[in-house]
Amino acid sequence: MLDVIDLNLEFHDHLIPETVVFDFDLHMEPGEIVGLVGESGSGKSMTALAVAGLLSRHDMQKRGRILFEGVDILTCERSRLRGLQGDDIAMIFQEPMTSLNPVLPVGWQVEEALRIHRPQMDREERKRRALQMLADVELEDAERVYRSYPHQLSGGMRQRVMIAAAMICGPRLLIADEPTTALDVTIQHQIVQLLLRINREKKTAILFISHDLSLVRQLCRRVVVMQSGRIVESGDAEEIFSHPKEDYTRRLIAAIPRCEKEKDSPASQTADGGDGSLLEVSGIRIGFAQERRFLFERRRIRQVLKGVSFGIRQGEVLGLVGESGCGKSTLAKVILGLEKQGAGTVVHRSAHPQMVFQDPYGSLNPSRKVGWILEEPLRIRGGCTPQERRERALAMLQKVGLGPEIADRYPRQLSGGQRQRVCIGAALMLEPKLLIADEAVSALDVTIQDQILELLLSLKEEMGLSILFISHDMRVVYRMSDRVLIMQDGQIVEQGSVEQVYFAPQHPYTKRLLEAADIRPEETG
Amino acid sequence: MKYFTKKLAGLLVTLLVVSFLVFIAFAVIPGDPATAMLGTEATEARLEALREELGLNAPLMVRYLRWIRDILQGDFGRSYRYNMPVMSMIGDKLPVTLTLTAISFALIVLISIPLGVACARYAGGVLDHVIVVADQIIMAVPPFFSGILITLVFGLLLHLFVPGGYVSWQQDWLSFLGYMIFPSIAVALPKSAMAVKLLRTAILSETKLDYVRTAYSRGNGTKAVLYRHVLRNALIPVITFLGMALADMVAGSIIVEQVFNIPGLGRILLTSISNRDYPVVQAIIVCIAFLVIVVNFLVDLLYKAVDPRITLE
Repeated sequence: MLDVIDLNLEFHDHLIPETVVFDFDLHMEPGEIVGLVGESGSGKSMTALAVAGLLSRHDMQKRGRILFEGVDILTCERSRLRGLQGDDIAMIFQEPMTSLNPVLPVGWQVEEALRIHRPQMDREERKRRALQMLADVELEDAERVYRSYPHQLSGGMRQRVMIAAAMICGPRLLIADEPTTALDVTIQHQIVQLLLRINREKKTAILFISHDLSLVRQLCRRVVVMQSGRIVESGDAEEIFSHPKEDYTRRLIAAIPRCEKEKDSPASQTADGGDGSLLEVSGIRIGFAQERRFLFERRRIRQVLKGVSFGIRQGEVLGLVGESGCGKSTLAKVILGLEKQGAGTVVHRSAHPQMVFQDPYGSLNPSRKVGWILEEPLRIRGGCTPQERRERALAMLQKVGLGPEIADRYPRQLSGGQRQRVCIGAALMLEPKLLIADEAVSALDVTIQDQILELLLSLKEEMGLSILFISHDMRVVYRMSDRVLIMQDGQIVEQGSVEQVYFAPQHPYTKRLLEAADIRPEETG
Repeated sequence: MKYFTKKLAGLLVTLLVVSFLVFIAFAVIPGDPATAMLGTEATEARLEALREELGLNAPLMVRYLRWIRDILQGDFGRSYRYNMPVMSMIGDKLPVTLTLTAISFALIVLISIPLGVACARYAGGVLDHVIVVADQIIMAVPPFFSGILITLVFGLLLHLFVPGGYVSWQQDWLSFLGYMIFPSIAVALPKSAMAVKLLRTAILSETKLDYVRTAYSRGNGTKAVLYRHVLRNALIPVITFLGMALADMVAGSIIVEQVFNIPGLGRILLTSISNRDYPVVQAIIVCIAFLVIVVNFLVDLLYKAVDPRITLE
């Protein structure tokens, strides 16, 4: 059905042409699911856009052939291509919020492909089909969703709407570009199940692009692995996961944090270090006032934290897992003293807890050099000569595995991983005892993620740090933590050592999270 | 519905504040209306009698409350200068200024939206370059100067209208509109230039967004994407600008009316200020404030219609 032969994509917007995809070949049968895996910059999204006929940039040279049922997508007429797009080839994207038009109702957008490709269809029939499609992607109350605007729906619902809009004409090929990356784990799981069902029932072939290997493993029977524009390895999924031939594939697979019962640093090792308790949090309750709906209505309070208590011991990594909106970031703010309202007590045994955030680019001042950023905490505290400050900044760069030349660069000149190292360095300048890492590796590629986790663990040993490690990723938390807190809807529903929580989960929510993260019995057994 | 009552209350409060400030301002400005009316030769007794007659001797607050009470009954007082009701003085001037503003506004919309779209669609092309350069030049020219240029070109060289030959709408509304079109162009040009630039930038930044790619993936052509998806999003900042421009035009008609010799609110405001004819000035300022507030309210409604993310609560 789909044959990509010798695809080469080349940018010409710089003096030297930059090739982003080299000699890409792919064959897909009708009804097949193929996974296209690679890290950011591997060219996987470019390839996907090319197959969907969406690369229309003039500064780009495209060579090779993309044959969809005999039609060459690269060279056929625009009108022919437009006839395929949305009718036979449909695409869904990573960010369902920005991928939907914010000012048009959902129903209109779901119907759009029908309006273009079935112009003879009347209004009632279109609406009937759209409603049916919305129900088909397991959206409750399709009638209400039909009339809603994108901002009125949740992330998972929006992605379902995207899928409904893509499937409305019954395409034979669905290209899914990181469709679950922006979603919570349990929602991720549901979307993957939905895609599997669509594939089974409608025989739609799916080209699934992702950086998440464990997800690809759940969904695809065949996998293509890409690295910097080239195919590294391709073939049967299970075969590649169990016997990767290429070094890069092996590295990718090794970088997925595994959940095996052979942790070398059990909690007991650190727990016996003296009286230990570094931080005690008890009975934290916080509510935020909601918008009033009537002029004289009493403001209603939405409880974000409903009585949270826990402690962190000296030298321990405490994992905090929960989905978006469960209150984990608010909790971090409370511990840092950034959130003053609410009830409960926070007792610190150490001064200056520091924080590392998810988005390393957004949290660094873009107009300052790295050296300046690292020196800032010292400058604010005072008591250091400029000479000393500079020296300590350079020493910190070395500690986080960066060269001294980085000090004179701007954040935009660094890669994502380097930026996150700078963030960690800046947080450690005042030698805190407690570090709060809020989704610190979520925005990074798996291999980079692996390096940053390694760095955090070694810094922890070296500096005797305690870390509150906040994440939505069950696997990463397993790898990092001694103890785990599972948080749902403002409450801690389960806590205990990593082994207890992962291998003998008590709470149904924990079980759901583990299932969604595809932590399989053979890994845990 | 609740939104309307809330907004209406806000409107009334704003009007009260504006009226109070205006009143205070004219109370503290040096100069005596009685002297202005009777001239410096008048005897003290006559002046005093007139002040008593006009109610100028009462305390400030009493005078203010009296003034507000009269306004609520539709009476803006009498002109000191012409000794006729202010209402009848403003009554036939207000439509003139409103017509000027309405034509200007229509011109801005008619000029800027097609040009902005064309610019963005052929961004980087010859048309785009020409419009962008013309835009810069027009933006830099103030309305009174473009007014003089228009008078020169259309009036004296092309003879499309007689400069200074204003025809009132009661006489002949067609010639009235024919005359008004030229001052409207003078008002509309710089604002259209800004709107074109704004719309062009908005469209270009919108086309980089993800939903545009989605629209293409459904089989839309460039035109369909531009008109069905991008334009509505890109109009949001332009509407904000048009709202401000409209308010600005109501208030700023003074100069253009002067250049084109149009007997509108602006002219009468100017003469009344130099004559210290306070009742007229106060009435006009309250009128303008009222119009500006109403325009802002309408813009809010339009906003809501275009962008569903905006809630009016």
